[in-house]
Amino acid sequence: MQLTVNTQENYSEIVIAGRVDATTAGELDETGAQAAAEAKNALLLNFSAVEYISSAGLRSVLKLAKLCQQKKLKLRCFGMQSAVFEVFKISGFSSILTITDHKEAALEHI
Amino acid sequence: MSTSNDQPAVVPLQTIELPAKLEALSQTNALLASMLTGPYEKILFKTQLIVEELLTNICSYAYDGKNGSAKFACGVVNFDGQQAVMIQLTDHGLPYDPFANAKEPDLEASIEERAVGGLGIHLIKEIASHYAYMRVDNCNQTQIILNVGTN
Repeated sequence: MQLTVNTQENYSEIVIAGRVDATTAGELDETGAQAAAEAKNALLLNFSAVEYISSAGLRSVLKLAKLCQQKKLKLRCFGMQSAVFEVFKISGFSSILTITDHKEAALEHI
Repeated sequence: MSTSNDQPAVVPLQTIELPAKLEALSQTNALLASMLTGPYEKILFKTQLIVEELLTNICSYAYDGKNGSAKFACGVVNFDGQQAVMIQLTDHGLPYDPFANAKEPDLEASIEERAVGGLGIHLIKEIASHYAYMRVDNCNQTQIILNVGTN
């Protein structure tokens, strides 16, 4: 897994690439917490290069969602491949998280 | 759960011994990627997901923090007349039925209420075509069948 953080004036974006699994999810926890501390209005998670996610990865995303809620930051996920989206759907996360196809939609109303 | 004996395996069963450690994931992932190619590549993601969830469970619970091992077997078989991926994980740790003991996650809960964790077994139950747990010869054994056609 590779993580890249892009910080903009109003938001920060974490570009996630590769596999988010039990061996890598801890890095997402750390990078996510740092990015949430620096983000102004919103934190974007760019999933377009994510090939695989397991429950360990979902756990990191939920922890990050809880953190963003405490900080009154908007959390927006976008660009998931269908297999990755299916895992979010089965977990019930697709109804509690804002997930869009494209970045443009993720940036609306932030 | 039993697999049909009168039909040959489509991808022969392979078995490996693993340490009950998270690092073993790279071994199971590599083996699955080498076996599930061509027409089976489309179920590689789901198979790796199920194996990861079972293996991380063993790492967390089977040996009470001590070193242990697990046996992993995988192949493509004919099951009830259909091609299916068969996965079997065996450990010799404390008796534990993951399917009976897992609390069902509250899928309707809000972000605040939603408990962190506990999703692995839920994912397996939703994705697998069949799942079973057996306690055999002082070992925990879980078996998963994942139909190729419907996935």
